Amino acid sequence: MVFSSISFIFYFLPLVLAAYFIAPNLTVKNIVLLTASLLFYAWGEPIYISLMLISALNDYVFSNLIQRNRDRGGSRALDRCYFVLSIIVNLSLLGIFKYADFAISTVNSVFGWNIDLLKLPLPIGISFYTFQTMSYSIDVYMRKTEAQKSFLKLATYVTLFPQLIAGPIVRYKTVEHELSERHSTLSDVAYGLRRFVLGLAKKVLLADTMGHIVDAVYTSGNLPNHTLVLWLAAFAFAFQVYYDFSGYSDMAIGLGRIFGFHFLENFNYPFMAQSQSDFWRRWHMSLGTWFRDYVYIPLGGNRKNTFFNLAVVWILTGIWHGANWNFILWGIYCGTLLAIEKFLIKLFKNRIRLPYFLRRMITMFTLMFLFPIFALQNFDDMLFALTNMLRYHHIGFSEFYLEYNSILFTLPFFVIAALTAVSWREVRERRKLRKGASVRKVVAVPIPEGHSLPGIPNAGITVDLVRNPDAAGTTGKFHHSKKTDLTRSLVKSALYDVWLYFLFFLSIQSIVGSGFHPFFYFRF
Amino acid sequence: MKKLDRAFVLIFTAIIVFVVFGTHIKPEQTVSHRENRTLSLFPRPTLRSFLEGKFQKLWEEALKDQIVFSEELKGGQASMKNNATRLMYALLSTLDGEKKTPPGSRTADSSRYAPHDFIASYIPRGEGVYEIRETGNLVVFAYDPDTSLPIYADKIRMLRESMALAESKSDGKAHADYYLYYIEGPRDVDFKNNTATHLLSSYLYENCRDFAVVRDWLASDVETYGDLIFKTDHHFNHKGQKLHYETVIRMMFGESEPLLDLRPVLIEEARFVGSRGRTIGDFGTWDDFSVNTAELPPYDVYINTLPGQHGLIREYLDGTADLRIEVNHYGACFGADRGLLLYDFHQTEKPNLLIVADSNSNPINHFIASHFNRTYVVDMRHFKDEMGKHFSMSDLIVEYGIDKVLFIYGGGFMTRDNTYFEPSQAPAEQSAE
Repeated sequence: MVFSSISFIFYFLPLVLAAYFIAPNLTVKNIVLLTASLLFYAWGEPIYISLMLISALNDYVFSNLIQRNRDRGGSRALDRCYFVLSIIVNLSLLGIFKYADFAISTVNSVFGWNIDLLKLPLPIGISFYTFQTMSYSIDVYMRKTEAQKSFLKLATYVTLFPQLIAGPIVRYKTVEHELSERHSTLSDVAYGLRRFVLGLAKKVLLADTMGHIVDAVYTSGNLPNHTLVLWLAAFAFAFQVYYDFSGYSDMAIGLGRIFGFHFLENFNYPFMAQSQSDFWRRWHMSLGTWFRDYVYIPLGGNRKNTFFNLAVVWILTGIWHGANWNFILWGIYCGTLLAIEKFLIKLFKNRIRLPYFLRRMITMFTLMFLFPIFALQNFDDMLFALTNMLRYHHIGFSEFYLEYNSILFTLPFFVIAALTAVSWREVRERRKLRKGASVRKVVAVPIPEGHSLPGIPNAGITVDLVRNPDAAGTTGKFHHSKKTDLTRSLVKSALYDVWLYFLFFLSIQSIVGSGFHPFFYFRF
Repeated sequence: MKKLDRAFVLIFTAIIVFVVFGTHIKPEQTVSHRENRTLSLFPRPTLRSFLEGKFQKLWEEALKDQIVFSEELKGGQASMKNNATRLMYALLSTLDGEKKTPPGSRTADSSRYAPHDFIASYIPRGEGVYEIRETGNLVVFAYDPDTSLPIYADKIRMLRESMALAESKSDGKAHADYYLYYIEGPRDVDFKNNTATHLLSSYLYENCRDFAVVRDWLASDVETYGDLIFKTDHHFNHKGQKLHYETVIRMMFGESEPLLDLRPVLIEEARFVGSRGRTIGDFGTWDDFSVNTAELPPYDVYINTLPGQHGLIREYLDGTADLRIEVNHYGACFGADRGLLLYDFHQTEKPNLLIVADSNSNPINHFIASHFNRTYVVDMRHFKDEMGKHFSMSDLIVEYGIDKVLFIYGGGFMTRDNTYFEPSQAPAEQSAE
């Protein structure tokens, strides 16, 4: 089952919410969530539900063995043994179902052998829940948390349907307390629904629409050589991935909030990045921090063998994304860009600071090559696309609109996607800073993306903005009365809610509209 | 803010409740005229179908078809795409200075099979559909002779095998005259390069010369195209239908056979949105719909050997037909493509005819049949499913005492896998059934 389906929105979710809020206590609520999550997963993968439970059971058993050993003052070696076994089981499940055929086909092509492929179907979400359960086991082993004694709570955490199939990767520590004690208020439910609607719109209206452009251009063996078309497809794919992923994250965070969970943000306006590092601090943050905390830092991080550590992390990140050589190449490319950046920073030691606009353009230009590498699994197609992105081949307007007839309707959405990817609040704040405007001092913390600041959908402020605390005076608006501010705020919020209903309507229309299949021949 | 939160949650809940109850209270819709198909119904859940994932797939499909206001939502989505396409075309063509597509090269060879210019310019309408600016016709760029010609070669081989088989089965007693009427249409025009190449009709003419007669209609210029073909459909309008009827009768009987006096009757309230219009979900543009009429002697119709009525011509003429815009009037009026039709005019002094055709013949079957005793019409694509056995042209010729065999079809018909003339020629998986 997917969030962007009629079944989920109109049947599954309302039933689960009803059962959840009727439940008299937290244990029953957790049972409701666990049951619902299993049903959610079974809807798409009736057989592989067992795999997910095995994964949860594996980490439950070994984490409790570690805890019991530790409580008894047992040896660290035994701890390590249990931990390693737990990791082996987790990685084996992931390895067999996701990477076995990739390994076999690689061996076949390198050695000229003819080993049969296993052809196992890929269980949905296995990369996400495996990393989730591993993070739990690692945290228990590293003594960052204690083992969860209740299998119900641990299974609820592992299978929790809001983030089960597409993340964000929720660390156990993030929700540990809430598994045992949580409550959701009406405001939480309202916030969650608003966030869900926003995420749904991102996924259905923007991501899926961008997918039409990608499908039309990236047709294997028939790639166009028109430079502008290839750049259009690269951006479209970037937007597709971003809005698909961040839309899902919004829906997950919103649903989590409804049930009383507070998941961390997963995206923070990545297209506002001013450097490679900045981009990866904004994009798929839950995965980035996972690799940072569990691979990069244990290897030595920035302290020793930085470039080697980067290489390991990014190759693994590429492999995590998919069982194909293009993903590994993608990881290598990302790592290389980061390594070059770190090298240049070390070399110039902040003596050279490019203008903001140039920093962003360079970052975006270099990052855009990531997306054809990610999208095109055939190496010849990939090379063709990348080469022709750099070597100009003209396409006239008339040729474009005749050739790409079926995707013309997507272009207004492309513009909307590009505009919505910008954090306009950040742009305004930068302008104010440049003008030396006097504003109140605020603590520089990231405001979660999509947080419903009244009247400003999807706003966010990056962490590195610090306002000028020494500026004199205040702007005009601070002279208004509190009542006027409140009224304005209410009106903005009400208008925002109307906007969300409209987005919801458009999203449902789009989902139902995808079922429009006119039949050519008259048969009844 | 709490009030707003409460209102938001309540309104959201109300929407959910309304949609769910509305969907299940209203009767299930079985047919969508707009989409010209039967709609998915809610499946019965079984453990097996759930474990196989079939139930979930059917449930999702049924929801999209049965949800309250489903047709309106689909129409709204199609409208949005239409309007966005028009907007982007308007913007890009303004930036482009609205240059028309350049004309192709004019040939000095005035032979009817030489390529002709098809000078037109096109407006993209989405979903691979284009509008010919000069005539308003909606077309698809389906010209692909490189794929079609080899298949045609194979089909002609199959046809000749069947013809020889018919001769041998009857020990030479049953001899039929064969006629091929290939209808040039959208697939014969290289819209991109503004040329009607006549490649397929030339190929057929060259390779089927030994048939009794071969004729074709030449899609030679955009004005003729616009005059004879529906704007929103891939079929010919009443003028094109009349042309086909007259050409076919002249082909089979020569100039001596009196033709029926076909008179078109405009069905006033009928707005016809054809296949191309439906593809882009545009029900704002339609064709007028006229039906050719003529005085005919009484005749009987059999559908797949059972007495029946093919089409609703009578109902369209007497005003009792369903004239809603969602209805596919071409199919409703002239009848669906059927495996086997029989028109029996009880004119035993006249020969028997076998027509092997696609939907292009549906409006004129009865007119053609009026010149014969019994006329059998076969659509090879549906024969097996409807008759429960493979089509065998040689068996039909012998069994029904066929004197003339007429093939009427357009470009796409013969390239389909399920067009074959004998059971042994059926694709492997069909033969095995």
